[in-house]
Amino acid sequence: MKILGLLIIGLVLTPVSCTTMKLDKFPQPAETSFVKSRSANDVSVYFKPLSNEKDYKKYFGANLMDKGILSIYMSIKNDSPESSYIIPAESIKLSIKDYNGRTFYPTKIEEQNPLDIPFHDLVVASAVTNLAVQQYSDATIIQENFKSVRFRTQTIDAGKAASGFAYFNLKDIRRAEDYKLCFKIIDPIADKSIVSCEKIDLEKVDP
Amino acid sequence: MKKRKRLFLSLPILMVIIVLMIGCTFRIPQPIHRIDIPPVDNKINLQIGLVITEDYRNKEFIIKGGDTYILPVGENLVYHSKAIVNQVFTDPIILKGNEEKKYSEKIEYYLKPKVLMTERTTGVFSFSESKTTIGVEWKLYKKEPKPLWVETIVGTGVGQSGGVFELYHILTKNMKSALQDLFAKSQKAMVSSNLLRKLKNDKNLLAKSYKKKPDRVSEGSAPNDRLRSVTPGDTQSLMSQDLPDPKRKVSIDDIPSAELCAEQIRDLFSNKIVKGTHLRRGFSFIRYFKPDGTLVEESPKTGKLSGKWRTVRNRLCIKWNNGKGRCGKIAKKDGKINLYGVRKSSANAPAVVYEEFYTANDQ
Repeated sequence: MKILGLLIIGLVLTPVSCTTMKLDKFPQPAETSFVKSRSANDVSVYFKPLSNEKDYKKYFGANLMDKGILSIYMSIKNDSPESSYIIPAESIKLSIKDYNGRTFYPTKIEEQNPLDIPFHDLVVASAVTNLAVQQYSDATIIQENFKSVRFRTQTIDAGKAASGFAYFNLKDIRRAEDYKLCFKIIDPIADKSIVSCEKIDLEKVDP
Repeated sequence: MKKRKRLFLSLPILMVIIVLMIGCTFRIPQPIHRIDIPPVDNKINLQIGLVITEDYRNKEFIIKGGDTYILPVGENLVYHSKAIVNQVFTDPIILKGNEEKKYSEKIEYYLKPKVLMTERTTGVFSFSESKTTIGVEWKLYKKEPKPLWVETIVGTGVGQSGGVFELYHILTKNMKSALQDLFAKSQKAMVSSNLLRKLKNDKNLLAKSYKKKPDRVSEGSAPNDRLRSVTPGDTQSLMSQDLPDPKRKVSIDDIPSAELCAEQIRDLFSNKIVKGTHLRRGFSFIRYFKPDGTLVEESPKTGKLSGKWRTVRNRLCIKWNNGKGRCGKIAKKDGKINLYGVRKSSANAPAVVYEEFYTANDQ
C-alpha cells in the first residue's frame, strides 16, 4: 500500500517537476545605450558583459562563469547613410590589463575551434528532478542556445544593426582592472578596414 | 552440467544488455522537402556563380544521445540553395567547389554557402517542444578570402520531441520546418541587402560570349522590347538563329492550379518559346517547343541543345539528342508551371519551372 502511494505521488510530481527549460532572449539595447565609436565615426557600439549568475541562468540556462567563460553581448549599429560594413567575428578580441600593468589576451571561443565545453556538467538537477532525461534535455537546450546567439561575421547595411555574444575563456586569468574589446570594421566596397576598440566596464566580473 | 546450462542461457541476455548500452546508429534518409518560399518581385541584377562544395552537398545532421540519428540534409541544402539563388539573382551559374578556376574568366562574383552549426534540443517528454537548428553562412566574394557580403542565417524548426516509435517521422518533420525557416530567411537577407544591389558586373563576360553568336537585331529584324528587358543573357539567346522571334506573351492565368493532362500540356507548350529555370541543375534557359515535336534549348550552362518532346500518360517527356531525357508531371503552382520528377523522392519538389510562355513568330 505504501509503495503504491509513493508511486502515485511520484507520478503526480514528475510532470510538475520535469518541464522543458525555457530561456529568455537577451533584450535589444535602447537607442540611447549605443556608444559612438571613436575610431569609426558612423558606427555605434553597445557592449554588455554578463557578470552575474542570475543573468547567466536567465539567458544561458547555466552559469558559464563556473567554467571560466565570459560572455559579452555586443550590438553594432551602422549609422552611415549609405555604406555597408562587414564585422568579421574572428576579429573580435578582448585584452585585459592586470594591476601590474601586464596585458593578457584571453582565448576567444571560436566557431571553428570551439572549446570543449562540457554542457552536461553545467546542468544541475534538483533533488526531486534528478532524472537523466531532464539533465539531457537541459544540456541540449543550453548547447543550442549557446551556439545560436553567438555573434557571427555579418554585413551591416546602412541604418541597420547586428548583435550577438562573443565568448572568451577567462580560466587562469587573475582579477584585472582594464578590459578592452576590439573588432575590425571592413568597408568591402572601398576595400578599407579599421580597428575599433572600446573599454568595457567589467568591475563586477571576477574571473 | 547445470552451471554450464546457466552460463549458456545468460550469454544472449548479456549480449542484449551490451547492445542496449552501446546504442545504435540510425540513418534517416531525407526526401527533397517541399518548402514554400514566395517569389521575388525585383531580382538582383548580378551574375554570380553559386559554389557548391562537397562538404555542403554531403552535409549530415547528426543527433547524438543514447542512440545516434543521422539525417543526410546535403541534397536538400543544395536543392533549395539553387532554388533561392535562381529566384534572387539573374542568370546564376551553379559550380562545384573545384570549378571556380575553370569559370574564372566568365564569372566575377561567387556565392558560397557553408553550414556553421546543426543542433537539436530535446524536451523531457515526447510531446515537449524540440528545436532543430541549422546555421548557414552565405559569403559573396570576388576572390577568397576577402568577402564582399556575408550573412549567417540560423533556421529553426520547432516541433515535438517525439517518442521512440515516432522519431523517424518527427525528425523529418522538424527538419523540413528548419529548412523552410532557413531558406525563407536567406532569401529575405539577400533580397533586402543594399550592398548586393549596389554591386555590378564590371565585365559581363558570359553575356559577351553570347554576343559572338549571329545577332538578329543587327540584321534588321524587329526586336521585342518586352523580352529585351528580361535579362541580357536571355535576349541574346532569343536572338540566335535556331529560335524564332517571340510574338506575344501567353497568359497562364486561366490554367487551373492543378496537374495538367496530356491535352493541356500539348496546348500549353506546342509552338511556344518558354523561359524557365532548371532548379535541380541550377540554370536558366529558353526552349522552343516546335509543333512537329522537335525542341531547341539555349542556356548559358548547356549552350545549344536540340531534341524531341511529346506527352506520355499526362507527362511531358523530353529526349535530347545527346541521349539524355526525362518525363515529368506538369502542374501549376504559385502562378508558375512546374515540372515534377516521377520518382517518389522528387514528387514534391519541382525540377524545372517554366516561367514565361511566348507564341513563336511563325505561328
